[in-house]
Amino acid sequence: MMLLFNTKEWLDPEWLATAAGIAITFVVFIMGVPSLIFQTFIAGGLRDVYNERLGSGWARLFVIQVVLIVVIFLLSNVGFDRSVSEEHSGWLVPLFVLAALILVLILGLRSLIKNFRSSRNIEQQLSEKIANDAIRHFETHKTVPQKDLEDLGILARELRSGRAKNIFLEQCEKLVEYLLNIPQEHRDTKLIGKILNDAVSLSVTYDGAQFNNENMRKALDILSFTYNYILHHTTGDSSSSYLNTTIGNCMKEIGIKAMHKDDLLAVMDAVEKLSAMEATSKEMFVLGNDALQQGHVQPAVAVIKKLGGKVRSSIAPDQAAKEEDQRTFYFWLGLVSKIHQLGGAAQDFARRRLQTTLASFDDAHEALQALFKETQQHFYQVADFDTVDAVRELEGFIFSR
Amino acid sequence: MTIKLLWIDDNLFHDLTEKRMALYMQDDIEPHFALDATEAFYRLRNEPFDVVIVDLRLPPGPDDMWNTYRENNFQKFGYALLNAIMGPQKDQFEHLRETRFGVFTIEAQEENPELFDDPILLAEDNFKVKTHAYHENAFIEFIRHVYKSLH
Repeated sequence: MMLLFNTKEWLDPEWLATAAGIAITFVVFIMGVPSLIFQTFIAGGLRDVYNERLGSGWARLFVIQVVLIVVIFLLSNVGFDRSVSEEHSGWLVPLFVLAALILVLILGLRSLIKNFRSSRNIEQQLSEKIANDAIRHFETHKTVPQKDLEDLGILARELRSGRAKNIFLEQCEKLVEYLLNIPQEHRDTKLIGKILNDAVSLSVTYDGAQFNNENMRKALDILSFTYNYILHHTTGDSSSSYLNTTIGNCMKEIGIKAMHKDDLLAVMDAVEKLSAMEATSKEMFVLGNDALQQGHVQPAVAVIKKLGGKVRSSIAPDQAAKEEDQRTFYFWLGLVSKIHQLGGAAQDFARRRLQTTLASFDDAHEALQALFKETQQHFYQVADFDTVDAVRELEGFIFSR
Repeated sequence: MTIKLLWIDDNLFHDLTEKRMALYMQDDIEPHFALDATEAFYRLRNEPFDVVIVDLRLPPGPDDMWNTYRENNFQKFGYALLNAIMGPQKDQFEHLRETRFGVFTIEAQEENPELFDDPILLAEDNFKVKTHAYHENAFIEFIRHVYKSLH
């Protein structure tokens, strides 16, 4: 190119104006691409997060391009060649101009290609970036910045259902696993609970969030894994009870959300995972009761079987039961009574469950009746009058015979 | 007598739904379920079961303990699970000494000779091939059979 224009006139003002014109037009075009990508590929709520986490390259590029254009202007307008020796000015200044112009074009083209390539997996890149930033920050400061937690919450609410949300949940899982692997004495269970509640669970329970069965099952898997990990890698730590309560609540919320979406498979999965945890009879009762109110019997049947197994092994006449086992009995009997109210085959199922689960009370009617009264009292205290009435009805049916 | 059962299969919430519900309706079976090797591993560490039924082609689940299998593109995490709890990590599973194990899978018995060798030593009768035509009642009888089987 230089050889073609290697005359005294080739750096005349017209040529330089053309060079500057090309550079400015190209830069304006290149700078417009991110806006196009913003509008086309990124959901409204994610734009700020994208801008902060992945948009810094754009600003840097803009500054470099502007500097290069200014250089071209300077070379053309201030008689720069006069400050260079006569011997070299003939080829050095044109070389600078050409180099600056080529650099503008190459940087712009590179940015254009990179922008279009990156637009394919923006959600994945954002999820990875936030999780990696949080891990990096924790390695040096032993805490995760509030900003990272807030951005995880934004992604949880805004991401589309399916693959994009599952990738987000995988990144949350990676972050939680990293935090779980920290030795017990330095492990921050509050932080883990916050991520589980405000990112993992929220991503499938937030009103208006998009999620499917696969996403709900993934969220339940992360919660269940965290519970099991804590159970087997913690010794005598009371702080894990906070985490267990959080996990139980999250599972219950996911189950209720799944119920309202008629996703019974996810509800059954939530019941199964809750049943593997300690002290979750209330959460299981809530799911079973909600299922009955929505007209679904199967989750309630599953809950009755799960709680019934615990009742059979812990409640017997003339034997003082632990407080948690008593609560399990109340919730089990409450749900059996609710099923009994349905009549027909459901009533047969309820009676069968009473016979098999409370076989040890065959000759201890008074003790059994006392348990019925306690159950009514338990539900009366929390103003669950429907369940009180159902238990009373079942009591009348059994003890009037 | 109630059989406390753990059935491990990633299809439990798809094509095995009816079998799962049929188990809930049995008076003598208290069913529990796990969907992957990690969930099953922790479930088995937490509590004893009378019968454990395993599908061989399981997903590994999130725990890093399966990484050596993952690196070799291994698919049968049901086998990996059985191998772990009866082999290298059996000290953690002393409470499963009386547990009877069965395999319910789409694969043929001849494809899995390692199941019948040390350390798993599965009884041949405790291996059942999964087909669509396999009825719920037959499956429940299989569980009762596994329960009655000797190690």
